Amino acid sequence: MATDFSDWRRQHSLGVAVMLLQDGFRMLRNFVPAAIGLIYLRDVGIYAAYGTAVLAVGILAWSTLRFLRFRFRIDGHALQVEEGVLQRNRLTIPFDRIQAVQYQQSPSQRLLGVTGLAIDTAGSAGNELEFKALSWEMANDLRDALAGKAAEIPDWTPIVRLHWKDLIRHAITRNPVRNGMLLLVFPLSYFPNWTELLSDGIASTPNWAFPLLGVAATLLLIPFLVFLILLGLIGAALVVLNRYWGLHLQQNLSGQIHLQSGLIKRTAFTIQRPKIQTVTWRQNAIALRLGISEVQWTQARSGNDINGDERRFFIPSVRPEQVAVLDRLLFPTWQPDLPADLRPAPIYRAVVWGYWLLAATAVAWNSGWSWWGLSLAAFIAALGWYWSGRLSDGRFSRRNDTVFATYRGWRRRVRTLTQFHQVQLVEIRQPVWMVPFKVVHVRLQTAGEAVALQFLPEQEARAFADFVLHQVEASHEPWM
Amino acid sequence: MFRNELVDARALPRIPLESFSSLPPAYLKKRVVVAAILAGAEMLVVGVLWLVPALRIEVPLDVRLRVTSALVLAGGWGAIVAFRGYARMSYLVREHDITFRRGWLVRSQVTVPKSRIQHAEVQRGPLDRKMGLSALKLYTAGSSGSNLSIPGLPAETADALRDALIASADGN
Repeated sequence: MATDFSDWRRQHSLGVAVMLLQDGFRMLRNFVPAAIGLIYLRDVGIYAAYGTAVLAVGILAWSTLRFLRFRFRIDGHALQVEEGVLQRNRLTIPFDRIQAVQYQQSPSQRLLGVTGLAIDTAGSAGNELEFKALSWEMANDLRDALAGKAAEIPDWTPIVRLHWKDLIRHAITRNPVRNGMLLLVFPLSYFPNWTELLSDGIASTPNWAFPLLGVAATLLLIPFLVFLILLGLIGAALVVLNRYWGLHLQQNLSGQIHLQSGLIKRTAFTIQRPKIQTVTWRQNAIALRLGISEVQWTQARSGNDINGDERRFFIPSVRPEQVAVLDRLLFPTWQPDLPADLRPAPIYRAVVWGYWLLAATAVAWNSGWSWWGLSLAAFIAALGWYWSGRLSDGRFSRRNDTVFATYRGWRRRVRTLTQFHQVQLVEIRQPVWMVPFKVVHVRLQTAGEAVALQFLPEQEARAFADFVLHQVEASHEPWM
Repeated sequence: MFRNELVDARALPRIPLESFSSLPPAYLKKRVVVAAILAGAEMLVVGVLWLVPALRIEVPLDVRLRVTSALVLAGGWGAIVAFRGYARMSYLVREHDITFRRGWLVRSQVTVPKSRIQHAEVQRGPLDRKMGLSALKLYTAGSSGSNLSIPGLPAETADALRDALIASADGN
């Protein structure tokens, strides 16, 4: 370890500048309405200038004080931080309460060559803590020191690295056709009377021009559609490229996982494997065709926000061979070819089909029970029967003694994996209409997300709940 | 190091559905009292509504009828829920976990392993104190929807349970 943290330290001295910029931006944002108001008032220009100067000095003094008051050190196995100008806080965060260490580099921080570092804690350990400005070396040293492995930090092995082509592929799965159509709808909504405009236009067009217009429309239609799709694609690609640029997942020998990405705002964080609660793979119809999936994992809720949501992280565009690698990394005992069990009872298909039947009935009703309405309704009902069958087939689970996976969906597939010993609570739920069908829902709540199994046969579900409770007690692995 | 022993699924201990303990009758009394207080408040509104003409403020007859029927129905519903909701409430404490069943229209059975309990809390409202009852709340590390609360336990039982659960969570 290069840096010694046993004495009180301050952040990088450029932290003043970072705080100044951030406080200044916040101030500007809050004062924009007032500033706009001032423009319309005469003879106050000089006071506005004075006011601005006073404000600027105030902000400078404030951020300098904030910088000077922010000190930190490592005492044994806890991080101690003193902060606050008017209200002074002293935080002590034991290392084992730290959920994840996350680097955040905003443009202002990158300009100054420093990085922010956010420390997530779970439960009531204290506030979430944010360093505004550390040099990269000090940030790395601090991260390693917090991991308690300072002496023998093993090398990082790369696990997943995304190429920009992967990101474009992910952007394609964001459905550029739909996005393009939305882009078309927005301009149209500026002309709410576009139908009238169109009919006026048609009325004022001489007869001889119609064939020409027809040819032109046909010729233009395809390029126009292509243009729309491209527009949708570019919109999605910009967002995806900015967020996930150079995404890089690494692992070290002490079981830490490190993920970094980002173009304008760079983030990186390090997390211990047991802190990850559930891992979900998602594929929509396009991703299914392209053979890629999106991975999301959740960790426990952060900070002292009792009712807050759990934290989520995404890796877009994971190829099948990378899926296998991630499976092995996160769930070493997992075998993807385990037999499927815990399928929903037939009533599940009936419930799904019931919604389709409702739609079919509505269609037939609206058509006044005419022959074409009835045949359309019959078609919808038949399609619904097929669809509900596929959905019902797609819903099952696989498990061994430690890992549990749920599968659902047909055109849009979701697979969620969790470990039995990370379960916090088991709920068996049964709306009263399900009682005669002997069917129940089961929910396994982890410290992150819950895993739900719906419409299970009651006997099987109760046996499964007993199994989960047994596995929870049987394991002594850390679950958070 | 990671171990992975074989589990015989048929030999696993089941949650014995027949040996749950139900909540004391005092809790039913409390539910009835609460429902009665609410119904009383609703009837007060109804009374005011029908006395309004005496105060010379016009409220149309159909509005009065609608509000009255809605409030009477709400009071009746509250009474039904007070009884039916109580009927299925029961709990079971095993060596390693605690289970609570509840619900009338949506039945639910929640089990929390003792080793996952982060902290336990006993709450007593004014009515609870009068009737010797306590509510036991168990918090796990999960986000919202991961807490178990058992209302209307006898006060000594709730205290004893809290102490026992925390002790076994420590001893783990």
